[in-house]
Amino acid sequence: MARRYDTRATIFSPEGRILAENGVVLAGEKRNVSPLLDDVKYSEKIYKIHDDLCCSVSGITSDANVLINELRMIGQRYLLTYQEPAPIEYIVSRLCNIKQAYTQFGGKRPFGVSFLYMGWDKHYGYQLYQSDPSGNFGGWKATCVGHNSQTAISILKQEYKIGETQLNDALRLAIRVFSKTLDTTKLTPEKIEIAVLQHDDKTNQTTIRMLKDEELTTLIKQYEEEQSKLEADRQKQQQTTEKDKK
Amino acid sequence: MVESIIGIRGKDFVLLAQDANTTKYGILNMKFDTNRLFKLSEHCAMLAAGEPGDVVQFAEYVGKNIQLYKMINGIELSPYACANFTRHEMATSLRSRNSFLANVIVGGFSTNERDQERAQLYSIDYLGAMISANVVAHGFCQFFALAIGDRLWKEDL
Repeated sequence: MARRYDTRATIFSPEGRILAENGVVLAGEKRNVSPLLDDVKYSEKIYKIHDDLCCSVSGITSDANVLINELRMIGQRYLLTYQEPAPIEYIVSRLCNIKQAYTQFGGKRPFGVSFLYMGWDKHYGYQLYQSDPSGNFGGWKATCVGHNSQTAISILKQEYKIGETQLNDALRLAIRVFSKTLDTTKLTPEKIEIAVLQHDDKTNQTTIRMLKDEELTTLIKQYEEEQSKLEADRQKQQQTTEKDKK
Repeated sequence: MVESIIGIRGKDFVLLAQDANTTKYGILNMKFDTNRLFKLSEHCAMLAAGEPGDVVQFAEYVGKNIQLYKMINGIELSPYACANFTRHEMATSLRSRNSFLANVIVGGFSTNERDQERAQLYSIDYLGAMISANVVAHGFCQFFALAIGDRLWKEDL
């Protein structure tokens, strides 16, 4: 597998993650730097830690690979001892202790990676966490990491409704944030990837799936139609106010 | 072997029973109020019988580790997880310098509503074998308790 490097090593490429009432949505910008790079089958940025937890990476990919391995080991060690899946916060917290150690002991440099974790466990249901190279971590309802993350976070602050966001709302919100923060003028399915995590209480199974290109196209088209409708309404409003003025 | 510990599981409860004698050398009863019950968490407990020193050492070790888990992670382990942890420790120590001659019963009621079966009862022997059953027992009494349990236990106790 060809190793991918975030070409701007100090600036992380953008991703956002949103917690919904019945799932978690993660959206990331794809950085296919060169068309000559080898294709990755599952995902460029989203890694499965265990059945109910996956995470996405922002930063130095080689550092991330080491930490992803450690995350998986933490999950499996817990499973070996307790014979049940590890709580999400347990895994995140253990990894962050390791990250923190590199900032205090040994004289080695810290890991240049930020993670966004999304998962489900039987204690707290759907959860979303973010961790950074300092080893600090926090739980979120919606957050964004990387380039233009401030803009994205302010949009999320306005639009995310606590306790009322369903999965489709979250997906639409993700598209809206991307269209406002990405460098490109037009949003296309090749530039973004979206993953959705959902847990079925009846079968006690969690599914993590990547949205296919067709689904992405539909979402983008819905967003663009909404936008053009808003624009048309706004223009009509302007015309009527100008008429009134006259 | 003379010490008896019994566990019985019902629909929404777990019952743990023990005898209270400490009989040394088969002829001398030293103590009439022995405690074999060790609290693991608010909703889970362990009965332990066997070599007296090992019993206390092992039970306290497991109990304190379960308390530590709660302090660190803020959540309580289900009886299922407690029992598996106990078994893991027993099995790991078995093939090391310090093994424990203690037979243990772990039982409790899970506080997590998502668990299918909330009343949970497990028996772990000194070799690290674990089973989950409706009636479990260790010591000479097991010959009686298990037979009576087989005959008389029913679903809606």
